Amino acid sequence: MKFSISAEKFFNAVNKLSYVVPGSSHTTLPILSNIYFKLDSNKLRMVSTDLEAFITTDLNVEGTEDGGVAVPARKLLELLKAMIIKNESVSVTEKYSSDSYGLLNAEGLVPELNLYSIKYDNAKGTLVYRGSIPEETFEGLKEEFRLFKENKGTIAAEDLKTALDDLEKAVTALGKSAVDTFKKTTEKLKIKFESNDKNKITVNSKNGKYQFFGEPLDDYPLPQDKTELSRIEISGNRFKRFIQKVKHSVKNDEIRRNMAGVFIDLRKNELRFVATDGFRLSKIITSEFSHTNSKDENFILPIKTVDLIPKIVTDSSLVMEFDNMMIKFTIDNFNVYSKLIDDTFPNYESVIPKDNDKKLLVNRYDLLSALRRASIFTDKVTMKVKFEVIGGELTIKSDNPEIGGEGEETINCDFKTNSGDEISDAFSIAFNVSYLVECLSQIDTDEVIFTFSAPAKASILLPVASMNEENFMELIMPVRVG
Amino acid sequence: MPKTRYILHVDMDAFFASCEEAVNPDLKGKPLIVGGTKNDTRGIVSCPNYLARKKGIRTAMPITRALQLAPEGNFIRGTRGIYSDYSKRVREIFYKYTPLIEPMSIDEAFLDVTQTLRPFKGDVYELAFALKEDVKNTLGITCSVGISSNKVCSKIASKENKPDGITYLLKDEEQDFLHGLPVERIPGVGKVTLKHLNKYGIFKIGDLLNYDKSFYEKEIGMHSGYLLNVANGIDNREINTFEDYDQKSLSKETTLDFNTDDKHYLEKELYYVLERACSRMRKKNYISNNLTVKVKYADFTVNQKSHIINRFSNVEMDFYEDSLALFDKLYRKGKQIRLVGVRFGDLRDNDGNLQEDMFVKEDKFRSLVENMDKIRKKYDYNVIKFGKTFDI
Repeated sequence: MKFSISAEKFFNAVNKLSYVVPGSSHTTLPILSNIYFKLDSNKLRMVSTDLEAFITTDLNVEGTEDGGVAVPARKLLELLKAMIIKNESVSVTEKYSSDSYGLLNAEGLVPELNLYSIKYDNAKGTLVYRGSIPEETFEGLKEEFRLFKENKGTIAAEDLKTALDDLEKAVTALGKSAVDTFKKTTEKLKIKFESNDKNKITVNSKNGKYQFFGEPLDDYPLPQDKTELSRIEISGNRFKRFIQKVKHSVKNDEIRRNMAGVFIDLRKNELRFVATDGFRLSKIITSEFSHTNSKDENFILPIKTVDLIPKIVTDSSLVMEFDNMMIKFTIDNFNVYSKLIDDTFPNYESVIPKDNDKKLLVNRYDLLSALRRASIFTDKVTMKVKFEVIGGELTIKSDNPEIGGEGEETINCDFKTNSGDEISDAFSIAFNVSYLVECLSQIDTDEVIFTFSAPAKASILLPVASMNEENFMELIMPVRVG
Repeated sequence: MPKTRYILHVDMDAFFASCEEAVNPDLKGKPLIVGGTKNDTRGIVSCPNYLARKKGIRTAMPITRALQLAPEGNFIRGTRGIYSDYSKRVREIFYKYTPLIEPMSIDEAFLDVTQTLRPFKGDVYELAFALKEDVKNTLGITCSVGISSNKVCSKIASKENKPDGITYLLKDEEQDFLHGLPVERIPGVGKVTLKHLNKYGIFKIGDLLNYDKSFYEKEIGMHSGYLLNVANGIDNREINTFEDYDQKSLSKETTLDFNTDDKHYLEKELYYVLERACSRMRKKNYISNNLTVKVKYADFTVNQKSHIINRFSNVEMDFYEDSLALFDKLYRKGKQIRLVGVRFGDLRDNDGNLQEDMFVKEDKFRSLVENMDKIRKKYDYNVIKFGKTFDI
């Protein structure tokens, strides 16, 4: 087998395929630590799998000799990385105020951007990006940032707004500088790849020549393509966003799997993503999608696949084809095949209360900040914080009798019945603080609505306004105070 | 010189058989074999009464062999729950005599009575006799008592006058008494060690003194210091009462009446141990989120699986599904199992706070099991059961 290809394109494909390659100590099937390569004239088919999921792609290459080999994935990825990425960290030349960074960090806004490893360098007073990221990811970052700004609306605190503007400027510069570096090194770099009938692999570039051994393709498991699958099409960005909105509620349980994934529930003109662990439930609904069948269908996408897809998704559309056993995703020229969880998702609709009659409106940032402080003083078993609402004030209390600490703070709120009447009686309810923080972090608006009925009954969290034809809610079960 | 201690070792006589007889007096007067019915061809004798012992029937003998020795005997499988119940009642009687009690197993315990001899005018024999008669009159079962100044002598002594007897060793008689006994009477000396010792001409406990410490270190290994101390009548171990250590885990296991790979049956047994463990957690007001399921296979190999549950609890309903899933990982069709057990780790005090679960309506179940706890405490564990465990 012989072909040549641009380093950037090759790296991008190998990088994505290696997401499912199991570590050598995690598999009983050594062939799986390889990527399947098969060349048919100018089409290179690549496959990787951990047997739970498969990723396949067809790359256009300049082929000169057909053939196939299983290539050690980690070795190839490391080699390509080392060939194309000269400089692994890039600093922004423009100075950045550490106070602004600290402010954003304290409000939890940097972590939301931090998927891309942006750190603050105290010594130089600059932002630094670390890691190896191909160009398109930086485009993604800019897009993410734009969405982020849009979703947040205007920030109330003046200095916070300045800080965000600063960060945007800095990140743009950072992105530009990293992209420039990356482009310079990869654009022109050509890789020549060959293998012989002894499965010896040779990788040639202008740097030099590297040789190592692969395996024969014979035993490599391949995904089965099925016909008669149901089909849903949705925008890649929306899919990613929906997964992000519900993922924190997935039950992380290796032995009972019925909640260990995101439930994708297709109704007439409605596509719902639902996740729950029995203590909270996240549900997001859209009508913006297309599907072939008009009948109701659903499946549970395992958490591993839930984590995998957003890494492969691009801005373009995403197609899901499925039956009751498996699902096939088509994302540009990549296909992902995954098993589905063969179990019954609980009847989530029956637990969502419809008669919560009390409505609490509160500033989300104020509440999050207060909860972060309160969480330091919660007990370790239930991690409970207590809400006490009376008149226009919400008091948040936490205490840890074991180590003897407690905290209390009060923020302004609006507490009314559904029909808009003021509630004069005091109401109190307790929650696990980490569930609250995770749920609140997924609400996009500056203010958040809680609805309650009784201290031992489910509470619902809602954004004050929803966007883009979507409908998001979270349910959170309280902690009963003994 | 430190004050002489008075340590009692109380050993129940043919405990399982005695309990059965106490519950069902019709069984008295004939050899009784607890372990299996006459049809349990693969069964093993778990406890014969004294009439059966006279016929040569021993613990761990196949039922079929016991049947040959005493065809007229009563053969029963054993009634679950009554033994630990009786054990508890026996312990309650012990507490009338001293607070320093170290239960060793279901049917034996050490008692330190050094400080509680006053009502008996300082006479430890009087105390032991009163205790023994108290157990007999209250519960209708007998025990044997060994008295000496340390644990190991008392333990060896309690075997001397069985059943319903007392062996009292004065401090200066202890060594002479021990020296004449076969060396395998020392707790911990099993077949292998015995063979080793016999090789060097050690048959009686007294023979142990013919060699010095370095010999035991080289030849016998871990028993070195211990064996010599026993031979010299030295054992300074204290009584460890239950309350002495802070309990961090709690476990419950059951050896089955017969080895089986019947999954349905094993799952019932699993529920049974889970129920008992949770009941004990509730009694001690603990909660846990850390569940281990253990099985012992017919070949005596042990395997176990653990799981951290999402929330703390002490109600069996919260753990049952997980215990089944864990058991599923340990179960193989065709692989015989002889024991199932559960353990709860990371025990915490229950402060009554509880994370609600939207899919579990726990309140009803909790009040049900709490009421069952009350009924069981008043009467007997077996008076009320779930359908699941009705027939085991």
